[in-house]
Amino acid sequence: MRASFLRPSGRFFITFSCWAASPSSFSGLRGGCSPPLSRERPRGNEAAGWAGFVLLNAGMLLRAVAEPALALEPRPWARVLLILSAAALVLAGWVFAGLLWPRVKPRPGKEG
Amino acid sequence: MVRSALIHLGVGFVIGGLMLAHKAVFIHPAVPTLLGWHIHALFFGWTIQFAFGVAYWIFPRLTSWGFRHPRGRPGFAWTAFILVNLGFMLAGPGALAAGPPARTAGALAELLAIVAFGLHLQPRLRPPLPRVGPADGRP
Repeated sequence: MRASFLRPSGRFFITFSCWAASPSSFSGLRGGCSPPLSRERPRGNEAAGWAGFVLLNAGMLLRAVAEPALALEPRPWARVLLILSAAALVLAGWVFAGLLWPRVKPRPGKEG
Repeated sequence: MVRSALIHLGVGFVIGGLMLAHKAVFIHPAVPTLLGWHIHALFFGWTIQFAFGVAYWIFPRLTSWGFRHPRGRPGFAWTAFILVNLGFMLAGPGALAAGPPARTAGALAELLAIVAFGLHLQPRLRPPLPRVGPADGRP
C-alpha cells in the first residue's frame, strides 16, 4: 500500500494547501489587501475571482478523495479525479495570479 | 517583487499539477524529481517573496527621519530580491542539472536574501511620525 498521503510531508501539504485555499487568505489577499484596480471595478473581475476560489477548493477536495483512493487501490475513477484535481489547482493558481497582476501598482498620490 | 512572486506562483502550481497528474498517469520518469523545484518555487519564490514585496510597500516610510530614500535602505531590498531569485534558480532548475551542490548554494542564497531583507527592514521598524498640518489630517 502506498500511503504517501499519511507521511508528514503529505500532512504538511494538505494543511498548507487548505490554509492557502481558505477564504481568508485567498479572497482576502486578492480582494481586500491589494490596491484597487479602478474606481468602477476596484477588484477587477469578481466572477473570475470566485471561480478561482471554487476551483482551488474543489481541487483540494478532489485530491483529498482521489489520492488516498488511488493509494489504497488503483481505480480508473480515482485517476480521472486526480487529473481533474491537478487541472483545477493549476487553473486556480493562474486565475489568482492573473487577477492580482494588474493590481500590483502604487496607489495614486502614494508614490515613493 | 510581488509580480515576480506571482510568476513563481504560476510556475510552482504548474509543477505541482504535473506531479499530481503523474500519480494518476505516467508522464515522465523525471517528474518526481521536480519536487525540490516545486517547494522552492512556492515557499521561497512565492510565499517569502510576496511577504518581502508587501512588507517593502506597507512598512512606515522614513522621509521624516532624515533618510534620503523614503524606504531607508533600498539597496538591501534589491539585494534580497536578486538573492531570492538566484537562490530559486540554483535550488530549483539548477539542482536538476547540477545536483546537490547547486541545491545547497541556492538554499544559502535564499537564507542570505532573508538576512538582506531583514537589514533593509530594520530601520523601518518604528511608528510613523505624526503629520504636521491642519487638524483635519490634510498636509
